[in-house]
Amino acid sequence: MSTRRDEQRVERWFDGEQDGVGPGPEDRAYADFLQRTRGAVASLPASPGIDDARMGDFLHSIRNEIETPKRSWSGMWALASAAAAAVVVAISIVFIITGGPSPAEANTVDAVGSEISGATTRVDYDSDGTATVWVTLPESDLW
Amino acid sequence: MSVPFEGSLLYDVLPVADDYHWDARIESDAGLVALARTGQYSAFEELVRRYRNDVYALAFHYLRQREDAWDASQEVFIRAHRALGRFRGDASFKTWILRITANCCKDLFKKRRISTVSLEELGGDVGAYTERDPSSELESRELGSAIDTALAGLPHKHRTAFVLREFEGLSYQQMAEVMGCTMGTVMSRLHHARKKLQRALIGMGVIEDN
Amino acid sequence: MRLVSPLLLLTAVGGWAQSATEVSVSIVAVQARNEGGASKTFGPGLEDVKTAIEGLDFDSFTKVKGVTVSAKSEDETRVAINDTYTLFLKYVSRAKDGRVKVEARIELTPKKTGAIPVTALRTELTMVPGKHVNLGGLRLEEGELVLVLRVAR
Repeated sequence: MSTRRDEQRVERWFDGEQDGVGPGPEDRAYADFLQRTRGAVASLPASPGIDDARMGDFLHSIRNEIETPKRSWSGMWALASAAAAAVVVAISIVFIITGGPSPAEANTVDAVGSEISGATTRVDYDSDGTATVWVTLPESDLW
Repeated sequence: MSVPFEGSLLYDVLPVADDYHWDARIESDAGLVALARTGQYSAFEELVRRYRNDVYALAFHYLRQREDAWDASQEVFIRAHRALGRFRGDASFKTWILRITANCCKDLFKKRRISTVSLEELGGDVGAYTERDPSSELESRELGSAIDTALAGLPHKHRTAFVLREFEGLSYQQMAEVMGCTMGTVMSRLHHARKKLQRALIGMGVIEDN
Repeated sequence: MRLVSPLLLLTAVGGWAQSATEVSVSIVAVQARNEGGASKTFGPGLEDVKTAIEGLDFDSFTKVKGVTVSAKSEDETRVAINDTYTLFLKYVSRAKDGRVKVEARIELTPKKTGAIPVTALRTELTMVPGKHVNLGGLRLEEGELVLVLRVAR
């Protein structure tokens, strides 16, 4: 009976990768399954695509979005520091009005930032006093 | 430097700028990225033309709806344009853009709470395969249709591995670049995907349990 | 309804003081993923932080690391989370009402050999002992990393 390791070796052989080993008698059934699925996938209609007639619309929307100025987060660190006191007061006022957790019972985020250009941050608070700081990193092949 | 020949899509769709220097027919991906970084938007649009179907096909395999795949594909290229300055060339442009596609679709899943159908739910619901035409071609098509449906029941990472290998034809190395993981993880996920599909197809009665 | 603004409270109690030079901080690093499951699943070791993370938009949570360190005022305390992310903590001050100011910084080491680490996230926090702060959004090979911090009472 094939083990997982045997099956993975057969898969590597089937996919044309190095260190692959062709199927032995006990792996034949699994190799047949791999072959059948590949043949079946090949029989499926080709995935839909974006034909030339629609390219204009496709490109137009992309260009519109790219050319819309985005808010820059550079220098946010200094701005956040300067605004920290105002943030604390604002949150305190919200707590006073809403009767949420006592300000002395809730975590607060006084400042937040990132050195990575294009990163964005946001801060959320829940009713239990848990603060969540979220950073969204831009796409890169560095990370 | 040559100008796109009259009648080509590039010539017809884009105005030829005064600074136009390159020929889309021969420019490499790396060359286009370099040009796009200098602000030549037409170079970026050529990259869009080259890879829009790879991106769309992968997005469609994830999202299963043409309009969702269309929106996701646009978002992918928008993100790619913003990230051009960070593309170092360690990976090929194709695997880089497909990685952005995979991440984008994952984010869309989170936002829209697009749910997967469990393999158990698929078991008895997918067509009636009780009578199969003995002709191998029809059987292959039926199996293909069942696979297409069963893919929807796979976890995201396993579906990704199977789609990248069987539909996109990527090597394990390319899959690792797209999925941002090691080759060992690629092999593991691909194996899990195939085994889960095998169990699902047996459950549907499309293949025998050997 | 609260009758006293926290700023007035601070004034009344004398504000912030360097009454100590360090504070104990517990850190739980969590791998958060979306598996498409019908309900949320929490791996072992997350009982203490479940309430802090269950509201996040993921359905599968796995503990990566749990550690308690002492954050000091004279220098950053370094906490290696994994090959990519490192947390740095620095104690700033403690108020007489017990709240603690802490600086937290997460450094990212790019994949490329020899690349210089960068600060992915830098925060200044005012923490209530026993309450949690989540620092999240950091991509992993699978899912995202969330660091759950809590200062000791």
